[in-house]
Amino acid sequence: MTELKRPGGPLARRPLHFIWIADCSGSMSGEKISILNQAIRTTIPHMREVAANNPHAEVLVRAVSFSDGARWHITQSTEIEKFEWQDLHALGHTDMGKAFQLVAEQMRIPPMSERALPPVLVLLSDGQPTDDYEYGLRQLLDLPWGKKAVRLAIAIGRDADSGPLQKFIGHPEIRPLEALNAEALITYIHWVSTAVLKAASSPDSSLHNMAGGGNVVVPPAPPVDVNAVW
Amino acid sequence: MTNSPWKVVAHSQIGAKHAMCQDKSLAKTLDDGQACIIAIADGHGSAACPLSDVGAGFAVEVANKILEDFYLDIKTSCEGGSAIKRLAEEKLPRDIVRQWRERVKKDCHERNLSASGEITDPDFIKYGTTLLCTLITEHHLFLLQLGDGDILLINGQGDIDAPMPKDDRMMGNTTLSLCSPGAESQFRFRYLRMDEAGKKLALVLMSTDGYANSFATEAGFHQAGLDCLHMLKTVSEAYLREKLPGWLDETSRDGSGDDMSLALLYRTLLVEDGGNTPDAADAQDQ
Repeated sequence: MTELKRPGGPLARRPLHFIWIADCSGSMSGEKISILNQAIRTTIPHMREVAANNPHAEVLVRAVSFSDGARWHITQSTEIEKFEWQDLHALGHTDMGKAFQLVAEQMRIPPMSERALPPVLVLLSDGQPTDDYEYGLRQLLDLPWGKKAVRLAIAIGRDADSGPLQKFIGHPEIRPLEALNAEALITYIHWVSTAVLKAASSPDSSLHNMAGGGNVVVPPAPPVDVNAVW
Repeated sequence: MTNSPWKVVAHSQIGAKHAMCQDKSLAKTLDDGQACIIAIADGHGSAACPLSDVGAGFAVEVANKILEDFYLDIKTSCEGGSAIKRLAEEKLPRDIVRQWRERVKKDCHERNLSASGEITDPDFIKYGTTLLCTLITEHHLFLLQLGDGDILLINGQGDIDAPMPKDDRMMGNTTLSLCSPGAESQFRFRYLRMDEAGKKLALVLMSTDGYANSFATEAGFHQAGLDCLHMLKTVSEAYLREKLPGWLDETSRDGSGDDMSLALLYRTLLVEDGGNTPDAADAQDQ
């Protein structure tokens, strides 16, 4: 008898969307934007290694930039194996809320799939929002995938307003990461794009409303030098 | 050809990404197939739940026992469908949760997990698991679900119904659990009378989330139900039972990587034993 194939349609890995949300306001110009570009570019091989060790997750990377308004800096969800970073440039205000709205549009179902792994959203900012960021944040958090996303924030420099960043994170035990110097920024970018990515890649379920926890157990952030400042 | 109206095939397969299977399945036919029970459970497997494989085992055993007792209660009952539905919806989740927690407490004591002797919420969490279970009789179909996973009803014409209401809380690797406080009020419950519409029911498919998560689309997952029904009709249960572990292994390997359980409850009158039955023991899978 001819062997029958397994039941069902095509199989696929579970998509894991990783989105950088980057402040490109004028205050980021110079060393900060240069280090940010360098940090994201150099972490890509490490992200590929994490993805290779978690073959059942399809890691897809994109980026949003915000200054005067917001836009998709890298529009297409790109498999990490093929992802290449394009440098950001800094000029303008800090329309963080508009960035949240752009991300919110992509957290709807569709284009998101119900079978996806929790997305990882990483907000990088050095200042204060200049638009109604709470409106955009509400749009994001009103969506099931917006709520379920792992949301982390890196405050670049001492002038970053931690209030909006903490509201974006929305977790009582996770604080914005304070990158007071170039090395700290590189360390934190490396950490969110590897350790956190690995945690989000696991297929294991966690308990709804488990005390102190979300759907992904975020590992502790590494220590950094807090003395040298931008 | 058997006279049993219903038969069941069930299997739990370790995930390609795992070292231990956290899924369990247990099925039983009663009164020569006049009634059937299936229970599948998915232990959470996280660091906070190191005994969730044990918890999943307790879940399917308790569900089978409770549903069997319930079947014996209603078998001779003169109550109408509405009353039986109400009774099932109130009693079954409560009894399942209570007996599961009793099993966990006993196991905790046997393992000396609590220095004080008191079993608290974190102890129950160690055993955390989902549960999906079904009791089908000549007149009634009861579906219960706590946590993630899927149930499909397929009729003889290939129409597919997903009878359990969607719950956004189950997205993104979050689930409700037997270990959660108030679990008895978090079950999804569905009751169907096996009247004229119920007579067309050909297949009940139940699966833990690792299975549906492995398919590129929902349609692909639904196709699995149709393909299983087709196989039961045109080949044989024995063939499907033999191949199922390998197929689930392939599904995990090329899909979610997760453990997965697949249970198929099918109406024997709508399928035939085909002419291509391989040499395989026809035993219940536990």
